[in-house]
Amino acid sequence: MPVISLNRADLLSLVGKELTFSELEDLLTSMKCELESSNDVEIIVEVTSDRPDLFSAEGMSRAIRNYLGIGSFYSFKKHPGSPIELIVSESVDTVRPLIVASAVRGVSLTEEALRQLMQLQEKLHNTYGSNRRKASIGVYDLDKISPPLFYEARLPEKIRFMPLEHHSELSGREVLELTPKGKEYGDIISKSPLYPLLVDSNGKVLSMPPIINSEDARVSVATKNLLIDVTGLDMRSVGICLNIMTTSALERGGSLQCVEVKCKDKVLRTPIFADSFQDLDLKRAKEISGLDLTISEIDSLLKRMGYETEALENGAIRAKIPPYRVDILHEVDLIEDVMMAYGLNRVQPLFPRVHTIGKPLEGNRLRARIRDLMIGMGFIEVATYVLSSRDLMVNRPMLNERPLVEVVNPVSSEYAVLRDMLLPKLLGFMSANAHVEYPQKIFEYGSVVIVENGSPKMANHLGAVTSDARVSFEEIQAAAFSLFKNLSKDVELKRKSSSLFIEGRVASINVDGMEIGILGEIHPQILVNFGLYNPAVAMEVNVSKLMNLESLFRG
Amino acid sequence: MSRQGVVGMSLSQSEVEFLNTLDLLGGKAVSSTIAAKMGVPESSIFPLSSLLAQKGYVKITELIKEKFSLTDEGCYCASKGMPETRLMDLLKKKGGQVPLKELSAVLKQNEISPVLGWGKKTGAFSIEKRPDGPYVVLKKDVPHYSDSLLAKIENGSNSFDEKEYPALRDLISRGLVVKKDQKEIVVELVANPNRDRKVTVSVLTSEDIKSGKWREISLRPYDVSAAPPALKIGKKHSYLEFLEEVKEILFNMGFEETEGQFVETEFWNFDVLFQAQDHPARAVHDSFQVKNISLKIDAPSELIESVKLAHESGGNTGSKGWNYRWDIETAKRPLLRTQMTVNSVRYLHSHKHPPVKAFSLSKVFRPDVIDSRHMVEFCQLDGIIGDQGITVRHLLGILQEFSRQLGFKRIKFRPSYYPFTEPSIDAYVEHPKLGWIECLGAGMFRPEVLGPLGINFPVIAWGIGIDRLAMIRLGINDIRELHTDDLGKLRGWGWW
Repeated sequence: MPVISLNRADLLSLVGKELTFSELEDLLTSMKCELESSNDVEIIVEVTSDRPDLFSAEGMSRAIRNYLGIGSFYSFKKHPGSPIELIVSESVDTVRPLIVASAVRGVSLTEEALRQLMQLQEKLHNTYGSNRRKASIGVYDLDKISPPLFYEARLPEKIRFMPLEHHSELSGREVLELTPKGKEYGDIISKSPLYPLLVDSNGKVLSMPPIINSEDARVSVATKNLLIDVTGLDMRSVGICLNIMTTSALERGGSLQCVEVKCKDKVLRTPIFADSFQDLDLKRAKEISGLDLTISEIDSLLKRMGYETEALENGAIRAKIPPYRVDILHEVDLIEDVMMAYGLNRVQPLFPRVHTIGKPLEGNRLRARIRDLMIGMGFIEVATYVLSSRDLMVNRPMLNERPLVEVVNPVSSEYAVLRDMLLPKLLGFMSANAHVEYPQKIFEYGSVVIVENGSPKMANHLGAVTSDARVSFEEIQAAAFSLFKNLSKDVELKRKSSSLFIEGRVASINVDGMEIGILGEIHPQILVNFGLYNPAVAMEVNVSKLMNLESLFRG
Repeated sequence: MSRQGVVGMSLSQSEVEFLNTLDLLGGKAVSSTIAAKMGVPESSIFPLSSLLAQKGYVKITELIKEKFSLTDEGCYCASKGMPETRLMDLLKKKGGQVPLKELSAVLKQNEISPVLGWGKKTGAFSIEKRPDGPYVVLKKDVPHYSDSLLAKIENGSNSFDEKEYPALRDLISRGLVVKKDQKEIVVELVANPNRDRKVTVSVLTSEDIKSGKWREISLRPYDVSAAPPALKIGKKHSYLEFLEEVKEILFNMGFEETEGQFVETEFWNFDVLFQAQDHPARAVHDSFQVKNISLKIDAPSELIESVKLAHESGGNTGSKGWNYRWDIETAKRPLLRTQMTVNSVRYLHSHKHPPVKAFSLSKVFRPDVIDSRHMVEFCQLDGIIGDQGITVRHLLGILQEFSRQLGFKRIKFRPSYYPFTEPSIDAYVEHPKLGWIECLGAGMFRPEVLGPLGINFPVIAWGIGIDRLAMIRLGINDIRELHTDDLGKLRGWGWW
């Protein structure tokens, strides 16, 4: 979820009302914000990704004004002039086909207003823009531009302009190679033979989306008229970004001038502030909220959330969705807003009288018994991660290469595969405790994921290791026999071979004619691989194969 | 039950023998006497009697005694006779006169002049000059006690008559005898009927019990406040035990436990939960994609179709949908589950009749940057209640009751956002020391989630980052310590 920084004075001036620390903090919390820190100057909040309109002070102050009842329904001034023309070339189709734009005339920008605009742009890029791939935003000083505008794609070497924060002109390829933003986002367009470019009627470059703007149309506190464009791959994403940017900029004063986007086969006037409505049924509102609300109460609660409402017949209300609200898909979304306006901490909790029978998962009882028996035999329980390294699961225990569930995008090679057995994990645990007092007797009961014929199968395993200056095969053998005797099972050991154990000192564990595990004395080469210098005996059992023991009264 | 005789004043075998010996000696004796009677060196008597005195069995009085002993010269004289005796014997044998130069036959050079002095003083003999040299001539037989005195000292005697003292002083002045002050103790039994004299031992043996010897012995008391060695006991893992406690609370509240698979399809993990395929939280960097395996979407085609419709247009759920083209290939991709709600919706799909109350508590996986608060693998709890007439008030009610069961007295709520619930709520519980802790996320499943699953009653869902509470419960500040690989820490980990 995005974390944003707000300037207290700027926010309050946009709200237009003095608020105490706690009043403001309560209001922010009522807007789904989680307060991270707050002082005289700066407030840092985590906002939720469904409400991009709250990614900056402008939208936040609008929501607060509505909530306090000092706002009015959403409205904005329209610039009387005709729309700005933006002509889209077909050449962009293969690289970055979509563009929408708007202009806001007569804004008054402060340093903080600029910071908020940049922050909003960045947060939108990271969320709805999928790190600029799906949508990226450009903001320009309109007075430095001569419409009409042209959106086209050019060979990189045919592109030359001075990127923001750069002091010389670069070619399209140089922008990708030399500028920080080019390095960060270059792969979005670098595979295309043509790069997208926004230019004005004089051929002045505005930007090379989605990488960087030109220094020539830079916005400053002196800027009075803003041009905003959003390019991208997905109409919904570019639309959301443009609406949020435009409605936020309008909060700083000014009027909206539309942009007419002319493609080969259609003309689109942006931003698209289409009238959109959501109906809310009173009965449904009561059923979901559990609150005994009247139509007029719901009506006034919706108004506090910024909706213009209209009463319908049959006890329903129609709410007009403002262009900055992108999260209203269903009447339940309005009901949430009603409850936010009502105040969640005013709602009386009610314990649900739903009578059901509590029931543990199949296997819980057996798990509990096995853990009890293991601690009874003096083993201490450990909990290792399911995620492991291939080195730990395959190389160090010198086990065969085998299919493991492997993470494509691991954070660290330590956590790159899912374990399919416990003993390598337990040896890994012991290797971290080579200097802790012996004897060491450890066990783990946990899930493993075994890949069988290409599909993952989860199983519950028990692993146990005993290590001391002297240990005997008999010790682990006795533990296994005691364990199964106390589960009313006869156990049969059969000679087996495994690279993990010393030849001749390893056996399969067989119960009810099924091979369910292995035990033996760990091979000294494996001990050395794990940095262990005391002999160790160990066992591992697939408990899932014993699951038929679970029923209390089995045949 | 009488424990008489089992625990008493600690007495060793030799201490008991000492006291018995003292009885035989009339209850009072000097150390040397006791040593002789017990047949032990006198030096061993001092520590024994001192221990017994500390324990209050005896009283000790110290005596200073003169002790005489022979020097090397004295020993020589004791065996050869005193020089004057040897000279007198020689004179008597040689007829009363011996040339002075022949005295060396019986006297050492250093003995000659003292002997001549003694003869002159007592008049026992005289020196006469003769033409062939000086002669020692016997005059009269002068008795002296020195030989018998030397023999007496050599025999260890230390008591002398009054008349022996001049000779004793003479022997001392001639360097044949030395006098030393010696300490001696008198040990006297203390009359104390409350103290028995049982032998104290440190180990009670099986033999002692069988033979009845335990009645005669006394067991040495221990320093009960001293620290014992640490036991390497077998025990359950404290973190897993906490999870068991939480499960027990939920069983008692009537919840059924469910479990799924670590490896899920995006379909169940995201699509059924109405997370748009282009939703920011679905980006590759927010979940672990996996390779090496093939998974089919284990869902009937009707479910797949209605999930697709819910995403694209809302289908028949009353929703506008996300208004994009849903792609089944994306839904097929395998990943490590990112939350436990996936188990709840799977449970709902197989339990379509109310009431339902279920939870699952297990591992989920997210590619976070690993630090003290974030781990790529952690536990999450997800619970659901579904029935006709369930409302947000019930959701708050279950959150309140569950947190009470965990021991938190107060709870507060704020609106929040989860893609699959609406309304969505986060809850904070109040910890007596740490203040408000945000740990619960909850909401009512969206119609776009319930509709495709064929659920026609409201379902409330809530999840808890149980590891956060486990850390508080165990008093640790680093989430990685829940899976500590420090055996010493596990051995020492207290519970409560």
